[in-house]
Amino acid sequence: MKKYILSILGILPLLSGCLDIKLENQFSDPDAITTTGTARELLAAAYNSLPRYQMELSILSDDFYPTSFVTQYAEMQNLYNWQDNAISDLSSQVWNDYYMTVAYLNTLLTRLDNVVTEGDEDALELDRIRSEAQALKAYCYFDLLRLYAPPYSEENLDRDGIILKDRLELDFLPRSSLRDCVAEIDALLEAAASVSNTGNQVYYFGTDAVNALRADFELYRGDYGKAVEYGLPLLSGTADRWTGTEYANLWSENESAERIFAPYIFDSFYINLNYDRERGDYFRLSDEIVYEDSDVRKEWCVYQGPVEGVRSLGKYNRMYYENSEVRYINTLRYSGVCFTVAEAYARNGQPDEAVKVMNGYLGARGCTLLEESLSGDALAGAILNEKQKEFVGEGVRYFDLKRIGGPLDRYSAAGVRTSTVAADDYRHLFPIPQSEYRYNENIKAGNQNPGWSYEVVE
Amino acid sequence: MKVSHAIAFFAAVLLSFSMYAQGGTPRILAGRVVDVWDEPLAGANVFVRGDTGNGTSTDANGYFSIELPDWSEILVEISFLGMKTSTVSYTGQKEITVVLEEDSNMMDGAVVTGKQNINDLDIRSKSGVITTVDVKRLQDKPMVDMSVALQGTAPGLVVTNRGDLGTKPEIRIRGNSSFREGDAANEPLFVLDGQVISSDAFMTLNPLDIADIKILKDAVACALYGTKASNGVIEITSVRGTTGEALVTYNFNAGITTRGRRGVLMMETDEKLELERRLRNPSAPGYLYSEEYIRMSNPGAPDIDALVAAGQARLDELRKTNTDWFKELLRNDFYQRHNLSIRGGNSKTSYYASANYSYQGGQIPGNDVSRFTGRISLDQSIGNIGYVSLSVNGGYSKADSPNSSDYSPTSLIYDLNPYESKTSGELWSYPNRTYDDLFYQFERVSTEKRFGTTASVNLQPLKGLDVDAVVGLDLVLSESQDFTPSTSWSEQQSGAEEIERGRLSKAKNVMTNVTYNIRVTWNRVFGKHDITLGANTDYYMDDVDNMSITGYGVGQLNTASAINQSIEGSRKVSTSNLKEKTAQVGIGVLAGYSFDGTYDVFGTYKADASSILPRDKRWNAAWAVGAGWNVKSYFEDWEPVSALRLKASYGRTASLAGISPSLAVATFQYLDDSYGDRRILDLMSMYNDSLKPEQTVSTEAGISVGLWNRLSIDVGWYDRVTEDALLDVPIPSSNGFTTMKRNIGVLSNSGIEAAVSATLLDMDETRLNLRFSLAYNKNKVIDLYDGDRLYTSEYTLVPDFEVGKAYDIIYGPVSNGIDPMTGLPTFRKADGSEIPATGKLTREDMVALGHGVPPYSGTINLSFTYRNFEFDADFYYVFGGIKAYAFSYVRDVDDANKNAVRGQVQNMWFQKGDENKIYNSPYVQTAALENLTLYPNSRTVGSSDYLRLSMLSVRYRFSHTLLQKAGNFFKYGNIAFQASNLFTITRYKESDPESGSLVGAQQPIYTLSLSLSF
Repeated sequence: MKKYILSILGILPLLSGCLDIKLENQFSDPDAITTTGTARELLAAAYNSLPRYQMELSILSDDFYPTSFVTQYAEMQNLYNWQDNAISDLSSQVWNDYYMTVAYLNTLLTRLDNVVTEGDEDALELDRIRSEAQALKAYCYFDLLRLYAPPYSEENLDRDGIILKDRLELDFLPRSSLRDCVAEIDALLEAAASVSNTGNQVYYFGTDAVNALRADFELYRGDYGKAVEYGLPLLSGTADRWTGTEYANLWSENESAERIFAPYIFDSFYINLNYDRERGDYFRLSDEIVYEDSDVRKEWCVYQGPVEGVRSLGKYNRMYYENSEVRYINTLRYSGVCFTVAEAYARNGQPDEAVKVMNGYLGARGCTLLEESLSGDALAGAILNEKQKEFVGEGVRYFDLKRIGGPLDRYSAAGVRTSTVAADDYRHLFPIPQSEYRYNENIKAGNQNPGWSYEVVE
Repeated sequence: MKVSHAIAFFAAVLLSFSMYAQGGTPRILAGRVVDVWDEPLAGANVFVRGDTGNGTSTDANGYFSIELPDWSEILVEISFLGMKTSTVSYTGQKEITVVLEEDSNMMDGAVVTGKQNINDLDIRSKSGVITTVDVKRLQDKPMVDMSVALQGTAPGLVVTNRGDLGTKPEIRIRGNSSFREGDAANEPLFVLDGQVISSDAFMTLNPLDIADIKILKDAVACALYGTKASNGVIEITSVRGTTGEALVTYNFNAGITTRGRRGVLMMETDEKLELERRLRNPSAPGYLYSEEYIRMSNPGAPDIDALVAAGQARLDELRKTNTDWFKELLRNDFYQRHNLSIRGGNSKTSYYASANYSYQGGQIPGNDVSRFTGRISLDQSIGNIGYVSLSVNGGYSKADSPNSSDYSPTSLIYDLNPYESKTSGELWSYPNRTYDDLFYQFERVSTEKRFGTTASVNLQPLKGLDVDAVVGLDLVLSESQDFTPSTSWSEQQSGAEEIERGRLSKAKNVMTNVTYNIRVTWNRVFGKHDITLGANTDYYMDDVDNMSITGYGVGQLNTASAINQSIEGSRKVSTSNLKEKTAQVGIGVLAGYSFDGTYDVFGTYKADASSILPRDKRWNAAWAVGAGWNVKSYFEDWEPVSALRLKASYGRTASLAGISPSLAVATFQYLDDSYGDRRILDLMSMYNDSLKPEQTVSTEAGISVGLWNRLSIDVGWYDRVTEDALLDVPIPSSNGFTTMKRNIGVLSNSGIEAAVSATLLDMDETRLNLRFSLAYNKNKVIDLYDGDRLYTSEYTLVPDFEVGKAYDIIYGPVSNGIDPMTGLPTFRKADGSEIPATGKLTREDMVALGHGVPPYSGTINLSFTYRNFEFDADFYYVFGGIKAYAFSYVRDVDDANKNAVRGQVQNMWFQKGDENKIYNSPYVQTAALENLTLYPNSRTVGSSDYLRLSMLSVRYRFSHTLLQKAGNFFKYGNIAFQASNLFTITRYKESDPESGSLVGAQQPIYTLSLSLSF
């Protein structure tokens, strides 16, 4: 009898020990992220999650006019008309998507200290990963700030910015002030810039991308000198990049010298603009956006769709018509740096420098040059017009409109103005999504952006 | 029968050996065995209990004589196949006559075996709540699916059919124990012969292989299984061998399956064309060919009268067809079951083997289930100290379905117009498509291959000491193949190039369960004191290994090898892989004490460690205490009350159901995609490092009363509180993830279960039994740790969980009907005023419309026996719940081309002044109907009460004399008419009050059955 009992007691500890079952295809802390290989793969998840709202933001901007098909897609039509519900819905998606990317980055950043490196090259790779993660987080915060926070100005600095989150774990955080948000982005970019990260694939956020982002960020907060300081070095020797071939390569699986940062995409992109391949799109190019025939951008910005005389968007939309797969989303480009630097010069009282930078670009693109007499707001306006033509349909214009302010006209399918969004309209700021004010006790009625509803059903 | 000769010889040798050993003058008992009609029973087995070597059988005239050992207490057992075993106490009589009664359940032969469900201890049942399923009634139900057949077999066990044939039903014991929905968190534990099996494996068991099913409901009954058993246990014991000559039984059951209940009557041609005319949508012929449309669309045409006449002719042509798509699309099919079993053995060794084939055809062509199972079990006694048992079982089952997640041909019953037919070419209801374009769109074949084996040892090395061990393995290989041919409509419209069309998805999933359990039990009686002590250790391992592939470009070939692997982009071939292995090890102790057979106390404690949780949270406990009081022992001689017993128990169990490691610690896995040249390592979920297992606290009290041995009443009250209940709760989306599994509160399920069983007639040849059962379950949110209410979506008006309220309540506004002026639905505001259709509803306007889960369920069982005839009927009922109507068959302008519910022309608002209409104006924008479509209201829900005749069986048992006249070849036989789901009575206006879907009603099956043993 004793034998039985002994054998039972003998088996127990044996089994208890074997409960540390490693899952075959799942990796759990603390052993999950311990090498630069797995850290890079987790970073890939962050890259892969980068929000893609280029089309929606373009619809909100003045890039497009609707076509008659827009009535078939109420959601988009409402968005074009800046209807509260449509913007609210978009806002919750955008907010959630950006914070998802931030969550991945926080997961990664807090685990990088556990990564063990072997050799110098590996240690450098770890630095690059950290730098990219910080830059990407700054990139997300910057977009969020421009969507949800009031425009940057001294008097707005103490108003609510966005939620700054430093870890993955569940938090119920208040909105930080615009001042703190800007400081956080600055700090992230500063840290990211301290690592040299060049020569890597274009779908990783390298040193050039960090500098391009910094230039943009300085322009946003009005430090024009710094914007030039970060941007100008990127433009050396770029004039020969503004060719038709390189521009065309942007909209293909080929390499293009114009790209600074272009996330890799596996599935489809920008396919919702199209109503029917045989019949056309929901939106067409705005009549205000006109390209000269000699402009190398024209071929890929304007697409002659199935309906004669209707100018459709080219770019990804044309790729969809032509059944070619999108592999790169051209997010940061050298041409964008060119506009940032030129605008910074212009706003900084250096019109000659601004015109020089612009004309270097315009000449290569095959466009009429800017008059050298231009200065001040007129010059900035001319620069932004060209910027819209370069980036039409890519969502860039929405952020610029927000920065420069001013009313925004809405049109009917016939090209007739139907309404105008005033410069001081509350809808220029996205609403804080309902999930925050229902589930986050630190987002109270006063923390909703002005004009938007704050409905909590209690 | 050489084997039996050999065994007999062996037995004879043993017998003589024991006689030699004993010496002295042997005592001899002689006697005769007859049946109730005094016919002699030849070949009945006569044994002395405990003296395994000593046995004999009766001769042709029913006579026997047996030598008795030199013991003080001797019990002689007399058994005969098909008869109830009789036990006679030897008190010195020289001759006895034993009358054996026929046994309605032939499977209850004299079984001399060990037991494999080693947690099934006698002491457990004295204070625990255990309901035994009447397996015979279960076997009488002609249904291929074991788990659906379980519906109504025990109060508190609620089985709900969820879809077409072959779909796993929802099985719950006393409701959901968690806020979380779904099987993973709420399904009971299934144990077959001591081996844990998956619910999928349970579905495929052969009912005829089952001797016994016990439903373990309260903490005391379940605690021996530890933390796995927080949702209750279904304990299954399989049929095993007998002592006696081999008995071969063939059971054949065949019949038809029918279409079942027609829930919604659809329009016939005349009404439909009239509706189309009034809806004024020219995509429907009723308007397109109408005079008014022709005149309107051809103003001033010179030949207008000819055009009108031509239109009229087209309408007349359509009126010639009047298809009833319910009859056309659904079918009668057949059901069959063949079962062959062999059973036999001697006092040392017994065996059972069976093979079974079943087929059931579903209502819609392409939906059927077929199954083949086999089972072998062997029991061998080891000397005088115990038994070794082995069993092996396997099965193959295959289910076909034409229903995919986004395509259901059954729903065509409600779409196709009565003026259309299978051959009418292009359909009005589906423009540009013919009938053939609607069928053969999708095909799913799922198969399940199951293999299980169990080995057990039951030893009694010392008197009062039992050592039992069981080791088992259960393996289920599930495979499914989904095929959408390139010719299907959805593929043709996909925009994909020709070579990229045709989708194929193939998945293989292997589920492995390993169990071992060793139990030591010591029992001793000192005078009036009866003490039991025990300990056990067990180990359960679950392993899920899944691999699937989805690809395109297969064309019309239903095989994974036809996938075009050169396709890039969204139609690229993709694979997925999941492997999750978890294990649990436990150790338990138990103690029981009985005094004088009157008072029973029982306590058990079990600690389990699971690999699911990190080390520091690994050990969790389950404990329970129970008490029983046999009040009857105070008035043993007072006849009116034949039994009176009270029971109470209390227990606490941690539950890990539905928890996976990735919820408690950051866990990553690779995605199918890549980012540039890198794989993507994805974070699986927002983990919760403070996640705790749910704690289930059960309290139970029950009373059993027997009156005049005729009436028995069992009433039980229970309260099961789940603390630290887990739920995926929404979190601020600035966390990236929108939900997280958290311990959010306390909920309770409490209720009453009652069963009354009465023997209304008990005469020599006539017997009538009636059994009535009722279970009531009420759920309630007791506490929420984070405030008083919880919304699971940021948009809902009414909280999904609110302290003090039930959590299955369906809320919605009170409908004021259709406004005769606007034709729009209006609602009643909380203050009694009216809200127009487009008005904003607030929380206050929402009222509780009813329970989504019916709180009451029960059965009525009727058994009537007259001589060799048996009549059995089972009714199953549920009430107290509501279900929302789909209303998808009410048409407005936009879908005027699809068939509509009968009476819509009468009941729909068409113009100002139409009063008392049921359906709103067909001409309005969807935005105006948001209040109608977003929330159910008092007019769009209906009571889901129903009463179903779930089983009917009329059997004629061939009498013993008849079988003897037939040449003594057959030992046993019967013939029966058996049917299941004969009808359902309900006030619910749509198809099925049970599944709430238009397509998933249980179908009636009518069969004839023949069973012969030889």
